[in-house]
Amino acid sequence: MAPTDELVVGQEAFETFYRREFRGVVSLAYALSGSRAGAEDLAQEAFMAAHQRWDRISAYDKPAAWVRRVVANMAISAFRRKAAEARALARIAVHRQEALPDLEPEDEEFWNLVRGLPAKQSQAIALFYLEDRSVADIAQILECSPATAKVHLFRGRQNLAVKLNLETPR
Amino acid sequence: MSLDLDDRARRAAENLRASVEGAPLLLAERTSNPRPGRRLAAVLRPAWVGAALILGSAVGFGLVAEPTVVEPTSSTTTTTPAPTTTTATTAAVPASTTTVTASSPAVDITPPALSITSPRDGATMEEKTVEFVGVTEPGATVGAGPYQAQVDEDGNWKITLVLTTGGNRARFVAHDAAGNESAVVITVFYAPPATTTVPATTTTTKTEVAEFDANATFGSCAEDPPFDVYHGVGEPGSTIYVQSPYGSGTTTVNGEGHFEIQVFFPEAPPEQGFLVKVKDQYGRQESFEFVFLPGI
Repeated sequence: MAPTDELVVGQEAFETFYRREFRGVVSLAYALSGSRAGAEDLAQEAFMAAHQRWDRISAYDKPAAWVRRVVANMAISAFRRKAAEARALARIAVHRQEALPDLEPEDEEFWNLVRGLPAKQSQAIALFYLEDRSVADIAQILECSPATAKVHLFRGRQNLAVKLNLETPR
Repeated sequence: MSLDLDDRARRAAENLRASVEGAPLLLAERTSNPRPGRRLAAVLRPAWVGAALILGSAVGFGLVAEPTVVEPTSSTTTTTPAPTTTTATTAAVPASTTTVTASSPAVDITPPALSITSPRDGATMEEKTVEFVGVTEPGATVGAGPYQAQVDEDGNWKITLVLTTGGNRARFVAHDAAGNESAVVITVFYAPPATTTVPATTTTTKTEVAEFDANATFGSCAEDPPFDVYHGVGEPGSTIYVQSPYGSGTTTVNGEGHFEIQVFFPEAPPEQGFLVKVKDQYGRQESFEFVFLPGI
């Protein structure tokens, strides 16, 4: 099947795109970075990058895939993750803004294990479960072939099942 | 009751999403004291900056109804904790004080109607450019990918697509004012008509061979033996060959220029991708990767 069609109508406004995608991107950053406050910062950085290139990115077939690729790569970079978290925590301290409560312990354990997987496996797992992304979408976001994305997903699920001592559905 | 991985993962994902949904959309610092040229709120137009101050609610950003928006003009900004019910709450920040305006709008949770009236699903088009026409709820928006359709006040929408040869799948999504979403998917085929050329120096008419295009349906398979389905367009009556190290097959293009063939790969090794070539009798071919993934 050919990819989604090329459409010859006007481009979407950045504001609309931001409103629709922001929370999903924060969720992805949160899952992959483990920091709620840092995740917002990472998402902001990714959207800032998209905004600066919006003329070009809005013409893409899936701009949402682009911004998710950016944030997924940033979130798994330990240096950037820590830096973003430090900035966010400093800001919270200055403004006395309370951070959100942590996740439940068992959910925290699950995402910690996801983050402990090899990078591509953790990204594929997060996109699959958090966003219900298809393998084709995951492949596009991770810039790999669908077959490779499936292998990342397959191995990630196997590794997680072993660590959690759970069955992998067949 | 025992959990499997999918149950555990989906529950963890749902809880994480809920955590983010209940949070303010942006940290207050970003609108009250942006770093020049850095913060997103600082580069968006004023209405958007104001909108960014809306506090998140349990029903999500898109369901906040008609918020009162006032731009902050001082460095003092107060946020209200995210509500735990579906009541939308908006906050506005005037020059020197903090005002919170609360309202309890009825929450619309009905997805907008969405239909495609033309073309029909599965239609084969001879024109490369096609106008898709449909109907949605008045006031809703309709889009496909990053692009928006034109929608009139009665909810009639239209959008023009440029098709590629072969199968074209388009997903249209409608959003109403409350943020509810509906989607419809349509597949149409583009088969350009065979062209006829008449050489200037002779009276002989030569018909060119129809365009060839092939597609893989799955790219992977969990069943044993694994298989894939290849389809596409080609010269009517011509032979199509599918070849790989682990399975092959042949079929014939039908009178409408379409072909489809299921090919099994009984000896395919697990988790190791390999190439499958689909070619016609004129030597034109497409290659696809296939991988056998037992258990997915």
